[in-house]
Amino acid sequence: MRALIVEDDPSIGADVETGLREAGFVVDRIANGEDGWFAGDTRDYAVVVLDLGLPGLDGMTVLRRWRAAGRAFPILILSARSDWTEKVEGIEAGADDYLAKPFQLGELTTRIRALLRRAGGHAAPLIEIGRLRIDTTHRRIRVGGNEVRVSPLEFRLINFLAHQADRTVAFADIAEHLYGAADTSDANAIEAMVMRLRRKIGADAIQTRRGFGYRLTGGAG
Amino acid sequence: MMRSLRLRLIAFAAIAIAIALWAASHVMGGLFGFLTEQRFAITLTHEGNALIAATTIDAKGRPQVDMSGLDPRTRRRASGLYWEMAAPGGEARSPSLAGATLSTRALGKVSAAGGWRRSEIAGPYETDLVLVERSMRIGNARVRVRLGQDDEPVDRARATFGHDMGLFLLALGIALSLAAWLQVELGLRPLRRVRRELAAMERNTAQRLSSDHPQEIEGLARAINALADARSEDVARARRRAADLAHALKTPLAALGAQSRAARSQGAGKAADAIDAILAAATAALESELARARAAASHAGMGAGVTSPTSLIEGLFAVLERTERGMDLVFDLDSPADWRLAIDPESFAEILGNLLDNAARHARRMVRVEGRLCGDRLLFTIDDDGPGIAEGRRAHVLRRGVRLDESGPGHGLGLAIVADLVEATGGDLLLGDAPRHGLRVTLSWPASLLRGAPVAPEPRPAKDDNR
Repeated sequence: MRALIVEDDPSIGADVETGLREAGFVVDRIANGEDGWFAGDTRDYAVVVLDLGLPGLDGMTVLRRWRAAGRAFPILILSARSDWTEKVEGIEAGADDYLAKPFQLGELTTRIRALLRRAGGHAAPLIEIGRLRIDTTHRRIRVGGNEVRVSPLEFRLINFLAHQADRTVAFADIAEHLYGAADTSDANAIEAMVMRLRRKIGADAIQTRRGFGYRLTGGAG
Repeated sequence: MMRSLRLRLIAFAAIAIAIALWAASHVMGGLFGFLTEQRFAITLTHEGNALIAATTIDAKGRPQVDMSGLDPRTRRRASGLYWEMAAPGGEARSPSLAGATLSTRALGKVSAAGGWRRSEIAGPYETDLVLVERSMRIGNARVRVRLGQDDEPVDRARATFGHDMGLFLLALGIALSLAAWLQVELGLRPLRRVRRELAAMERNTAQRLSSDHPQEIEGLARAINALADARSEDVARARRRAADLAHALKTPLAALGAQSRAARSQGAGKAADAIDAILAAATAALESELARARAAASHAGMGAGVTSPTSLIEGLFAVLERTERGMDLVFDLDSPADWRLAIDPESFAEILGNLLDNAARHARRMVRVEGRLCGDRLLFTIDDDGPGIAEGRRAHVLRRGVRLDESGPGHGLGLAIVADLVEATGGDLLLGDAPRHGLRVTLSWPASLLRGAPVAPEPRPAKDDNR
């Protein structure tokens, strides 16, 4: 797997590179925004670690350009800016995770593994149900052509329901799938998640069978 | 020197009124006296004319006066009305003089009124007299006529007038003083308003003096506002500088961390441990300094900027949903989408971000935020379904330097610093129990921070289950 590190500080760059190599990546390390952007635009990477304060082209611009051009690799922002507003801005610009400097290398590799897990391939890359288009490769959901932002957990729920081929799935099965164990108190969390999802993808996209479970219909297409 | 402007103005007005009234009483008293005397003298000249008309000169040149048509007082001894006349052949006097003489000398400063000259003299009976005199021809003889009248009526009129005028001027003085006091009060009212607005500015530095002050104060208000703007800008600049400095330090710290790992990989584990310990302390100090600078800046710019809590919290959810812990959690928000709060968005993001981060570390399945109005307070509750904090420990975790999760990764700020930030934005933070189990953090701000008009209301579908 190939990873791209765009980081101008040589010792941090080298450190991240070491960490990723140890985790089994082939690493490209670039120290300025312009070249970083070009590399990401022309080559495919499994994951990108992007600093924001870069010489040449700043990291946020690089990120926006990649996303505008349809580059879908997972991106982890590594930044000295640890304000929550900056984190929100980074995620909204299309980053998949945000790690503030200074950081623990272990945490960085853990997060990168998590990103890879989320972006993992899927047998059926595109599922269409009702108005929904579920891109399981890039873990994105479109409703009637518009992309909606869902959390990883919400995606897992939709993806799970989508794979149950139009049948009603019991709370316990959902809890089992999402959490690995069923617990009666999980029903509250699942219910809250379904309510949030309905706000995002349409009230009729998920049907409730009271006392039993949920069925994904995708809404009237 | 009196320090009160009001007292100074009132004292000045009182002195000015007193001087004006004193001058008025003198001028009016003098004028009244003069006019009364003149009137008195004119009456006396009428009597004189009657006297002349009643006078004839006999063959020896002596004046003969027919007393029958004259004022009866001239016949009564020491009555206060006297006359005398001198002709070449002899003199005649009113019986009221009883042989005394009026005056033999011609007085200098007299006014002419129809040939009569007026003066004042000491009378024969220890009273002052108003005297009119003239010389004229009766028949072939030149006759000098003098009439004198006791000026007591003039004095009496003057005294009565003085008394009445005194009362009137006293009333006028009181009325003028009241008017002056009222004027000072009204005049100072805009200044009092400025003082009130300044007090409000002291409480909330984003506040400015209003723009509808009277012309004379407008310049002052503008200057104060400009000063406050400059001060806010200075604070903002200092804050940016502090933040930039802190951020600038983070990259070298991260590089130091990298060096420590390099050292560890080369077998220098002890050295790496030492570096890591220093690094952790430096990072913690940096983060708390940043938070403190933010709290201070928040204090300075309270009410500056407007936050849309719903979209901001959703943004924070999006960040947390990507963290390892947050990935498996449901983040739920129930808050009016059209709310706009007069709280600096960065401070609000730091408060909610840190609390949500802490909640996500401890939650089992769900973190829930609810925003609602409760009386005159705006409440945000952040519930997790984790283990919660025992009541006895809550005061402890709110103490400075204590992190809610001392074992977890990252640099989560202590609740104490979050509480400082909440306080700096004019709110309160309270720890409690979530409805089922877990921790509930309640944030409350005055409802006055809620801004009326929604910027762009987001449609919110019904929450009810679709069956």
